[in-house]
Amino acid sequence: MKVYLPLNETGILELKQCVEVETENLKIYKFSPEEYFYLESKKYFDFLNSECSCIIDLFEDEDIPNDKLNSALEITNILINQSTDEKFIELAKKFIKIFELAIKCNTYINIYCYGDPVI
Amino acid sequence: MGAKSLYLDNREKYKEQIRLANDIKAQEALNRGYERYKKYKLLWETLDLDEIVNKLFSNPIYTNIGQKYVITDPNSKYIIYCDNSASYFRIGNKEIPNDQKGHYLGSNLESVLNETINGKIHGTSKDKRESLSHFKMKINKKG
Repeated sequence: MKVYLPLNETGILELKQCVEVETENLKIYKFSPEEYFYLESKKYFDFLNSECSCIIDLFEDEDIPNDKLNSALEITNILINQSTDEKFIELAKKFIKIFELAIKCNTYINIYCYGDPVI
Repeated sequence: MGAKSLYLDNREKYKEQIRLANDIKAQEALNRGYERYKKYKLLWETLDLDEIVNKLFSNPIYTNIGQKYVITDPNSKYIIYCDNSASYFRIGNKEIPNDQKGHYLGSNLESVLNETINGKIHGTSKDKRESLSHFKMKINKKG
């Protein structure tokens, strides 16, 4: 899974052009297939989908728009506070940093779930 | 049995399997495909899965990956991702790794990342890219 975070207007343009390398305007966070499937097993994407009105799904890329980032941040913090699963907390905290940076940059994020990189 | 029949048969078995197991996580993951289908189906082209599979594969292999039903062939550069909740699919080009969005193709089996407008090449918008690379499955009454 990759999470694309444009840092500015140029980054938004690069994301729209499907740039696949990180630039000074576009950050790309990679999660291993194992990390993706772990978060999936914890229903994390169902919570995000429900709170952010999006459809994050396998073999799809989905935006979490700017006006939903606070909801994403809030539900992720709630899940962290309710969890004792260190692995989940570590991965969710990575998302917290992503949401916070996107809010700070006043942009949005795009999540692309591809499962295993080679089938 | 054709690809479409195999898909429909697998879909029913998959749904029954998660229902019997009372697997709420799998059910919720499955619902996402149906939600996507409901939201966007009017924007998607209709294609016949049997025709596509016969065109692209000589020896198709069918596998469930989570809530998706994947059709591939070691001798083909293509791969098909069917949703196990609603009748739609995407086509991928294995020559472009599936960790890149350019992996997904349009119905002409060409990349949908760029389009030509007034003789100039532009990046395709996300909405258009999505609509060009998802296909409703043509379902006959006989299935």
